[in-house]
Amino acid sequence: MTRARAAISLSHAHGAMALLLAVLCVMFVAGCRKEAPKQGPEPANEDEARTLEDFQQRVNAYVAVHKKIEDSLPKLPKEATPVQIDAHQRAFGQRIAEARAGDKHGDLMTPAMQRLVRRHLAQIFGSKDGAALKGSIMDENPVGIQVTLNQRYPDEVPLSTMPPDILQLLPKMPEELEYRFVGRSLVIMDEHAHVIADYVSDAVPE
Amino acid sequence: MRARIVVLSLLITAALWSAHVHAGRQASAPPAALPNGAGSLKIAVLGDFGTGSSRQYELAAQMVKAHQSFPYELVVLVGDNLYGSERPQDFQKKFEMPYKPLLDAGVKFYASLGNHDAREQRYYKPFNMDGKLYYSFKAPHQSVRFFALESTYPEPTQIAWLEDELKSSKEAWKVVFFHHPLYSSGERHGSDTQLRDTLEPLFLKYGVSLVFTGHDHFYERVKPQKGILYFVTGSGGQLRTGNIDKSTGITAAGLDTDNAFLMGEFLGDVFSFRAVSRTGQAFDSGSFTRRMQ
Repeated sequence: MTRARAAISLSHAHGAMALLLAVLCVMFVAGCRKEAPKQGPEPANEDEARTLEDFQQRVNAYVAVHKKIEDSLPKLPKEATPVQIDAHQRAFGQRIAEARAGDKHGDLMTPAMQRLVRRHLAQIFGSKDGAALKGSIMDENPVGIQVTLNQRYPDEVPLSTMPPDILQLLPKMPEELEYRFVGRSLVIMDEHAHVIADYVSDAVPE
Repeated sequence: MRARIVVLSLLITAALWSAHVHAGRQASAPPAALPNGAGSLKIAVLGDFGTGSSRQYELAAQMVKAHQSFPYELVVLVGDNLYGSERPQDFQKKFEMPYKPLLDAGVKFYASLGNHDAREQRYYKPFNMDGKLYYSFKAPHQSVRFFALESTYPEPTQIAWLEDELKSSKEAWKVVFFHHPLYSSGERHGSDTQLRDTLEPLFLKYGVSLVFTGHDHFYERVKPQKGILYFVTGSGGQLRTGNIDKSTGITAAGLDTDNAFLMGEFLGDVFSFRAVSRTGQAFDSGSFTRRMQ
């Protein structure tokens, strides 16, 4: 083996060692981070697992549309006026409604997914903490408001409390979407566009 | 003789009444005792305020009055900044108008978001959030750093960010503010124990001394928990009368019969505070020495 080849081999060996060390460091740092508790319902059977997977795919598809529209709109400055925020929101909401004009209630939150959510919520509302959770959610949350797909989140309704115990039961949402309650309906709100992407009616028991 | 006694009694009664009224007036004048020292960092803390109601405006008037004798430079907002609609006119009615004298005087408001706040508020310039849901900033005086959290959706990325920020912070005072209380005697909401399990270990590990929260619509100073002082200041506009559950045993002082805000002052290792009600009563005050690591 020539000296040059030996040097190359040594160099490769050093490179491999460095790579191994880097991987070990990353694994160590990742291991030090406290593992966040898993969010979302545990599927009771294969049907539920498929329902949850299907829901995730629908959420991803929604987010793709959302991002495409968001990229086409002028960016909000980091220091905006209320007029700018409002105008941006309404323009965004309008574009989302146009893009989803053919969609109907249940396309995102499928009937199977709605049943699954209702069942899990019924369990927690029926638990010993259920009354307190319901009180917290219904606090400053008027009943009797009808929600519809692609509708702007009702201006007169304060954004509801979302107790951690409830969020823990629901599949995790990407940054673009969030869960809220409007009256007794659980809605998925597009938080940038401030529109209702879909909903589960009668999610909170009477 | 009887007439003289009656007159004397009336005079004594009048004198006592006068003294009582005078004392009452003194108590209702906006207090600025604290140390109110030169070079200190003076702040106010406010939460759950954005209702646009007369209560909010009356408390705001007390904040303006207090600012004249205790010129705080910044106001920490612990969330629920706007209730209900968030149209441009709502930002005016529920924030800009009641606090206009403070905004005009250059007081800076630093917001965190509550459960009723739309996330777009982070772009609103007077909230100084720089487009972020969570952020930290160094105070203009004293060795103090504030950390604003978004506690409605405390994602793991935020918790990781907080740990990095707390770890790298060199300031003596680490002050965290957010909406949901880790400790509260509220019958409606109470302590958020799930959030506590996540945040408290970080607070303890990295030397946080002081935490401001809201959500429950009253004022509560919680007895120090593991060396950390917690305040619930959730009655800036909202009020849930009689909601403090006295049986929790964690209340050091509380007010659930009127709206309130908190004045605070950092000077060296000591934080002094004074809570003021909508009627101008200073109903709680004291001082607290920071945790030493």
